[in-house]
Amino acid sequence: MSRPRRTGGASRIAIVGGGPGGLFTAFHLERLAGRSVEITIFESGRRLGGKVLTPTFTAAAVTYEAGAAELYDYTPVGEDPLRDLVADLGLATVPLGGATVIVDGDPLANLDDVEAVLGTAARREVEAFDARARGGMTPREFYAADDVAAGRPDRFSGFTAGIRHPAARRYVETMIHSDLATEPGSTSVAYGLQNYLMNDPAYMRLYAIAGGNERLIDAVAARLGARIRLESRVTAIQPRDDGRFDLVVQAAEARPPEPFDAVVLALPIEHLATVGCGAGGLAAALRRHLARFDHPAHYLRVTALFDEPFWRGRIDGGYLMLDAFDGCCLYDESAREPEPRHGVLGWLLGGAAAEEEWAGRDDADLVAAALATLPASLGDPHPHLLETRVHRWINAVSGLPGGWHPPGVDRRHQPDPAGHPHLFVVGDYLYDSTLNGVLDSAEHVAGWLAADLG
Amino acid sequence: MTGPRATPRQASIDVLRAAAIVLMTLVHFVENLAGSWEVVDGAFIGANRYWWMPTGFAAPLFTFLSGVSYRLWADAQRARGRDEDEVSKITARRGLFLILFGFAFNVLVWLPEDVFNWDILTLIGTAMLALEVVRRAPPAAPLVACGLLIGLAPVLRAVADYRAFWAAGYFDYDFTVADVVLGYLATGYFPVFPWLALPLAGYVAAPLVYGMDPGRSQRMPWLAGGLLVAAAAAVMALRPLVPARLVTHEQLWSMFPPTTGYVLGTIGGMILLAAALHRTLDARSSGSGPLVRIAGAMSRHSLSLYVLHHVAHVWPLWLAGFVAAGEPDALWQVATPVPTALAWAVAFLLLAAWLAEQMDRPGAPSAESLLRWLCEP
Amino acid sequence: MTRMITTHEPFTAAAGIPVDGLPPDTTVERMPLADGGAFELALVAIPATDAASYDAVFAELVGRGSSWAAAATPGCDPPLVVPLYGTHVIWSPHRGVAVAPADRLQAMRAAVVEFVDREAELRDIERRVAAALERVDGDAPLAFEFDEPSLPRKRELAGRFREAISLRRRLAILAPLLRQPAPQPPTLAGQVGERLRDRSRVGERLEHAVEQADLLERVYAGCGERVAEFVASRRHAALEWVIILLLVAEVVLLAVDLLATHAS
Repeated sequence: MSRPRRTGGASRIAIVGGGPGGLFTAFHLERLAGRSVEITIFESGRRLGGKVLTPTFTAAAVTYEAGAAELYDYTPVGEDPLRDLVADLGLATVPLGGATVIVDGDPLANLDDVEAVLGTAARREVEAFDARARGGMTPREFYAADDVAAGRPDRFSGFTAGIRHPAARRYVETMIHSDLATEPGSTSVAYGLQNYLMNDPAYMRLYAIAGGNERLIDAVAARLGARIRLESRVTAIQPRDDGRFDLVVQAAEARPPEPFDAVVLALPIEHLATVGCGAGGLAAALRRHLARFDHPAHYLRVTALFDEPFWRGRIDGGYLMLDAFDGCCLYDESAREPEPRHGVLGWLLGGAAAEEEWAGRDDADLVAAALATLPASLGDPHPHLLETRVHRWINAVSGLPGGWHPPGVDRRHQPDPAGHPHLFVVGDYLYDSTLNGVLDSAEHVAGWLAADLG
Repeated sequence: MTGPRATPRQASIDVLRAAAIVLMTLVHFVENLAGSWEVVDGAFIGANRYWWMPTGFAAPLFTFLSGVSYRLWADAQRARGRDEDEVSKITARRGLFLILFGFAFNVLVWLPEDVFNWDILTLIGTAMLALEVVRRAPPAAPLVACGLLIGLAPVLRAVADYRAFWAAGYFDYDFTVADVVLGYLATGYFPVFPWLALPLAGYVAAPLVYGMDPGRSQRMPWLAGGLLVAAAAAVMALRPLVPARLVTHEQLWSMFPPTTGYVLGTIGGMILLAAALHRTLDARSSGSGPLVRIAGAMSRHSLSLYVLHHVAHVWPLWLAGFVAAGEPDALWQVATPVPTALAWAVAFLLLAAWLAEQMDRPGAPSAESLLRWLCEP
Repeated sequence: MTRMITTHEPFTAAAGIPVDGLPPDTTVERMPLADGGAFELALVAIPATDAASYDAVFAELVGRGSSWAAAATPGCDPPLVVPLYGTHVIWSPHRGVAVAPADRLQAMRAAVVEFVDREAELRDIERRVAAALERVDGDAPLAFEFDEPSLPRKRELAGRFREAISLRRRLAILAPLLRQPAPQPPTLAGQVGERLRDRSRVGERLEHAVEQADLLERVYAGCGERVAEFVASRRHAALEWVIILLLVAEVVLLAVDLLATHAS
């Protein structure tokens, strides 16, 4: 297959997907290549941002996070391109923290609570597990985890089995479950350790964008010179003899297929399968790519608006872990403001509970179940309730199974390097299903394209 | 050591300078009208006939205080932010003015052949020019210069054959370049070696004495003055060990020629005197009395009074001599008895006090106003 | 030398500290601070009460504690009230109150003591840095050029440089203590300390103090360099002048000798 013949002028780049992956790719490509590239972003929906969504309640002008809840700050250990990007964009951030784990209705905020409620033996077991976890992964290893092969083939459930005290084990498993896209039995030790150790500021810190994480999307989009076509679904990619690609786009305004010098598929893995590539080598390569990375997992978000944060003083921090739903993260989104007038709680259900038990239930059932998980000590939430919202992110994240070896970084982003060197994929599923991961993916591809075509 | 700050006018300096004027007037009137010293060795001035004559102190006071006053003035200019170049110009102009004024004084007040006597005015003018250079040098430079001036003076006198230039107690020279230059450097009335050391010593000592508040005790001036006086005593005691070739005069304490003991002793004594007066007189917070006021006026017009006191007794002397014997110096040192000379001196001093206060009035003519008009921008 | 509490030393039981408004079983202790003052800490145990009355009792104790803490510095900013996991810390620069269940008080005490000691050290450093900064404008020109009239200030500048280094040293000792993250897994003492640090903004204050101390160090180090250069050049200049004067003296001697020979 010959390389695209440049006839002069800018290289035309198509980015399929207006989520963080597509926007970050466009942002970095424009910075690196400048006017030597002409970028078009195709987004099938009416909005940009993908899983980064900060809607507003109807009952009050209060925003909440419906998708990505937090960003990860790796600066305690090393460089953090996402932190740098946020700073470059001039966005204010709010640190997030939360140490409370609710086990059998008892809030355990620290080791003193563990000892008081579960006993001294439980405390010792938790401390011993913590020591083993730190011994299993240093902050530098934690930082480099995505670049290193998983190594240990055993499951994380085997690692937690070392906690002999049942209540202590429940405490630890509850603490990390909601961060696992899948069950501990299906999760690698490395990934499980990462999700435990992410609670330690020496390894990583959590933060959110002040005013809503969607402001990150808005800020990036505002700085793009690319053409953005909303409600334009790319249904097929047709390779040409000259190495370029024709894109078939389904939009309100019908257009003939447009040729592009390179294509970046920045789509969730489940949507990747809906893009046709014909019957040739490209299609086969994409199928292999899908097979390698297709470990879909679900997240359900239930968010409730209250007339006041009635739990203040009893629950502190930006989030806490519930032992309900097999381990669920409960966000206090009103804690991100200094003097909130309303209270906002958001439940994040993941893993088997999300997939098997609750994905098929209706919103009312979900809301009722969520409200029932609040500790009795907080009182009845219903008199305070103003509005609820449910968001279902089905197959939206990737759950890496134990023993899964990721391919090399280059290989991840190029399904068919020999046949179609200018077709790339970008996505959080290629890394750790986080915004940090998708930025790494986007930077990698943007750098490649800029060097090759810019 | 004080930094550049504008030290207020010190009453003690005025008192010292006024005292120098009084001493000078008394000594000159008595010496020139009545004769007070003996000639020794056919050349030099010997001991005074009158023990109460305060000879040998006025000139060191004047020259020492010229250095003190210059230092305080220069520091005040710097403290006020005056441009350094402007200070240099004023200093150089003053120096040149005093040298030329000195020549004119020698010719008009004394006699035309006395033009290159290298009297105290030309010395102080030379000192101004030297201080302009020293002002920009490190503090060690004037100290080293003083040492060289004092140490080399006997050697230069020996090399230049000081005796040959002095006859019957007076400086006598031929109108040749060699004699004129040698007179300027080593053999004149107030040659550079060693007399330039006194203004330089005053320049160095000023911040030691006047650098702190008057009420505060200062060790350095007492130490410096004491050491110099002790050095003078030591030098005089060790005189027998000095090679005969370097000894131009038998007396240990002599102004003409200025022996090493004399120079060291007068510098040390003046530092001690200045320190004592500064501690007592300047520390007084009460306003100055009439004596201090008069002393201030006389001090401010010391140049005018220097000229006037000579005019007051020398011109009548020339006139009387010319009338009596057809020669201006016919009545030199024999014109009057000592009491009469003293009375004239006192009368002149009273007149001088009044004149000085008159010259303080704005627009009043004086040598100082001429100096300011010519030398300051 | 500032006394830093690195272990939790026992307080001296403070007699005579007014405890108006506090419950009778309150423990009050006093510790010295870096600025020479003292800090009084009251430990108030929440009495056993039924769940219905708990909130009211707790609020009452917090209110009394706030009044007591505020009484130490009348007219100043109200004390910081820090709620955390069913406990409260009320803090002002010279008085603090910990309100908690009895079994948590010692853990809170340890955290508060550690915080107070470090915050007082930071406050003392801030005060000294502020005082030094007021003088720096006058001294800054000497970091560029030093001259003879400024020589009497040499000792004074050396003293200010030593002070700047001393402040920098104190900050270098203090910074890791203030920046260290709370221990993991979290303990109540660690969480209380972290929350107090956040609320009192010691992180930002530390960064500002470090920047200001760096400025002082740079200015006075510059002054020191200029002084050293000046003194060295002065010494060289003095030597040069001595040589010049000796040469002049030699020339004069030769000239006098020549002229004397010619005259004779």
